[in-house]
Amino acid sequence: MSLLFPIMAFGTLLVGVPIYLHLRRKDEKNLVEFPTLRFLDDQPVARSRPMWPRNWPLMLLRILCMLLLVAAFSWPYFDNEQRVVIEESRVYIVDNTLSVQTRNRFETIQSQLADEIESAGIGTQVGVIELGSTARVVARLGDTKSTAVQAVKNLSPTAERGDFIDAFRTAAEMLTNSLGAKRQIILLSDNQANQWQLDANSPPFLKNIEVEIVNPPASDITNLALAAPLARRVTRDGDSWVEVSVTVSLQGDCEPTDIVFQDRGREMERVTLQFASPQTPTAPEDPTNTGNTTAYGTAFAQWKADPNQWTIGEITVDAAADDLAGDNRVVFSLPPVRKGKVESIVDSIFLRRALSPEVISARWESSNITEDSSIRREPEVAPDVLCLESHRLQSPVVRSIVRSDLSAGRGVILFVDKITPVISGFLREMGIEAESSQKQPVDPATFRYVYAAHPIFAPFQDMEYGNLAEVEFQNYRRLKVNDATSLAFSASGDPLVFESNAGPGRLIVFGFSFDRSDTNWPIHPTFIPFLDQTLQYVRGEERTDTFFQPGESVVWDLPAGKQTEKIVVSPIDPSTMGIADGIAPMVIEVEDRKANFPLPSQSGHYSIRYDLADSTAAILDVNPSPLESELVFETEPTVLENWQRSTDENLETRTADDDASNRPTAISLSKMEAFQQLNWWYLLAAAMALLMVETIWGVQQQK
Amino acid sequence: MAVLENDRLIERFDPKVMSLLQTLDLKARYLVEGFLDGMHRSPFHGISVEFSEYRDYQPGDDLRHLDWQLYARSNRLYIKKYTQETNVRVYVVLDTSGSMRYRGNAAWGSKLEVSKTLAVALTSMMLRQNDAVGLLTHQEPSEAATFIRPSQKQSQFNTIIQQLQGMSAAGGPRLADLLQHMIRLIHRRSIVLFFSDLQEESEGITNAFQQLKFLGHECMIFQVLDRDELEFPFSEPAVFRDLENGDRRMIQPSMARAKYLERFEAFMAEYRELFHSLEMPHCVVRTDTEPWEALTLFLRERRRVM
Repeated sequence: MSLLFPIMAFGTLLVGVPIYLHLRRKDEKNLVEFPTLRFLDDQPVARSRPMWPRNWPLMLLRILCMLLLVAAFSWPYFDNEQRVVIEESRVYIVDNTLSVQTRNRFETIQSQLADEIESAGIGTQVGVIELGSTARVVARLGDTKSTAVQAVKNLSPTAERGDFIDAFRTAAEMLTNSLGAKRQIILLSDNQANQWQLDANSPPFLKNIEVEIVNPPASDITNLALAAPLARRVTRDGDSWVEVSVTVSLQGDCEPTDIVFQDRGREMERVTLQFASPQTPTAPEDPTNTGNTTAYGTAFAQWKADPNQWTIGEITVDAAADDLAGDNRVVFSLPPVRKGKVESIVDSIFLRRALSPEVISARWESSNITEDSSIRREPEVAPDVLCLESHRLQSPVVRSIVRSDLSAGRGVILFVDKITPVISGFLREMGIEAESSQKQPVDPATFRYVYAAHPIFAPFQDMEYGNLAEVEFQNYRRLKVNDATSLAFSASGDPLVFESNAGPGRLIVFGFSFDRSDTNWPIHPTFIPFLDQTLQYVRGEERTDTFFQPGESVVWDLPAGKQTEKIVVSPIDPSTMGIADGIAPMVIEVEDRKANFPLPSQSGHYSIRYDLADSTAAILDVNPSPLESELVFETEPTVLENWQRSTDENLETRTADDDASNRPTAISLSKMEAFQQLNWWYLLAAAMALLMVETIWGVQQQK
Repeated sequence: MAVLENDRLIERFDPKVMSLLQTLDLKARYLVEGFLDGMHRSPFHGISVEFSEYRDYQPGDDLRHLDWQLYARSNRLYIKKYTQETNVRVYVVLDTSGSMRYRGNAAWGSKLEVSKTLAVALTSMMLRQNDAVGLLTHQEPSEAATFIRPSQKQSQFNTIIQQLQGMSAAGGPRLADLLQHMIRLIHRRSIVLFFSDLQEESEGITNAFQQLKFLGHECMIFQVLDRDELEFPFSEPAVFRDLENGDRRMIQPSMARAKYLERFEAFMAEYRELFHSLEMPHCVVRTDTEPWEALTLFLRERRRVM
């Protein structure tokens, strides 16, 4: 742009504005405005010069102000000799998942990318996407090279897990509005095979975009990894134990090494791994080799632990020749046991025995009531769960107690051993109808259809506690749902277990009693675990998932009765239960009783507190994805062909042979140009400062 | 007719108070109330109130209007209804040329402000008498005259006040144009109140007033002038700029005063003679004194017209 450019010329005309204002605002002293001047028309005409500037410095100041403003706003339009045509738009995808740290590949990628960006030609736009748990744009196509290089240098390795399709979609979106004739995605990754597998059949979305995969896959990998830690508390001979198992995988050769189990920083057990063959580890617990290159096994440990304290555990393995150290540590935690109170009004000797302190003392404080009149409901003695048989509902006191317990949010388990008009009426009130015909089955019934996802049945899916299908029912009451949910049916279709929606408290109804005349369940191995599971469910204690992966987005529900506006998420020091150094605590706003936050990118324990001064409410166990330990690489991913396949409506292409003058252009920024950009601000600031001086001066003049 | 007591009236007008009053309504009220309090009796006695009809008494009716004699005769309750009749239509014509903007140091308002105040005060008085009042003026920047049709409704007062409040003095002479508008618009015999400084070439104005007289209208001229125009009290040499055409003259007051006063007196004499010949009441209203003379003139002339 030159000074003859229309915008500049128009802007310069604005200089006339301060001159006009200056002259127009000029006060003429000793001037009388008079209505009857026609009677004085013989007097001489006044020779004053109203258009003469009154204050030369002030007017020049105003003109200078305006010139500076015009210059400032015209600055970006001045022509630049180095205006260039963007030939290529290039988006780099930096894989920053855990597996890329194999043999320090991430650092190599980082320095390589920084060099490439710095050496990119002036006609090349560069953008950078970091692939962690999600794809994050760290440098946009419009950013300067120095910004992009700095963004790449600021990246730090993460323990996250993500799939390539997310990054490729983000890159394609960036390139959609790019300026370059050639559009390219360059993937800097280890090309882990399982990262290509998600959405392999996605519709094509990389239209007219070239893809280049830079780094060749590594070979001869040795990796020892830990994954999927499982921990639970068990009570054995009156003592509380913590049982922990962890999956061990080995890829390649490895020397014998130890797996160390720690609880709150103290070593609890050390298990030595013995490898029978180069690719088959021998773990203490039933190792199995599931592949040609990777062997899996399970390590197990147990120790006594105070059930009233948090168990904050860590499992580590140290292998000298391990190529990926990031998966050699996993963490787990167990909350302290909170005993519940259960009150039983039952005659069944099996239930009485099952609910006796000798059997369930580790988790429950139990009491059996024989006389209805001795039931008390003061807040300090009210039980969490009430178990009763239906014949006790004949008493109006018991019916009233059940109603009040349900309305107070407490749980009730009802075993229907008898049906009378009174009991039928009460069941109807609970949304369950007793059928008029109570014909008993000829053959023993079994569970046939079970609501397997329900919390009381879910633990029995993997047969660890026994097979529920072996339970037989010789006799049961025929009930049907009115306003309730059936949880289990017999083979003949009769519902056997119900959940009522009658109140805030949970009510589980069994259509039978736990007597041998009705069922063989009391002598089945699933009896006690099932009863315990049911008690926990009706108590209202829901287990919140605390196993996450680094970078994962968490939606944390506030527990019932808890009121807070913010939660604090911080790394926890296992030995002191305080906030550990390293990562600053995150304070997250609670909206609609939910807190939504992303986890840090590193594995470890993270505590949730409802106040900084508050005690730990929950501990999140953040472990790397086991998929990141599968160091199998893809040399030429076929899924890319699907993503890049052209369709008929995609015939329009941009080639490098297009007329360069028709292409969008951008101004490259050298140091000099960056300085000129700063000049814009200097000009604007100077103009504003002068305007301020002019105003003060004007006010002083008026005074 | 009320008898004026000049001393009492003078006590009831303070130019400082007048200049402090912000709205036209307040100014007019101050003027009218002060004027009426200065009289022995109300000027509104004698307005004809004519019996119209009877109607049945309804609960809530004012008992003062009950015809007790008819009740005595017929043992039935009737309310007497009256019609206040008027045949007076009054037009207020306001000059808004640039010269009306002038306000001398001693004045309680510019010539236009004084004119507007007087016009509103007279409007108030006329509406009290059940006269129909209208307005004709000219408002920049539109070229057309602003005309409000005469009405005797009480809401007419607010209509006229709203119109007057937004007016300002600007532009060149236009009284002759306004008078021509007047002649075209008014067909019935009416009273026309002119508020102007008459700072205009007299030829057009003379013709217009003659036509108005010929058409049978009763015209009252309120010539609003500032003390500075009448006495030319300036002493310091200064540049004088004309409010209407922007001409600039370097004036030495001591040298120019005699000539000015002589020419101004000739100008006033010319108009006095004109209005005398046309038998039109002419009142000079000064912006620095009380306007009682104008109000008295109006009441006297109205009574004569009735």
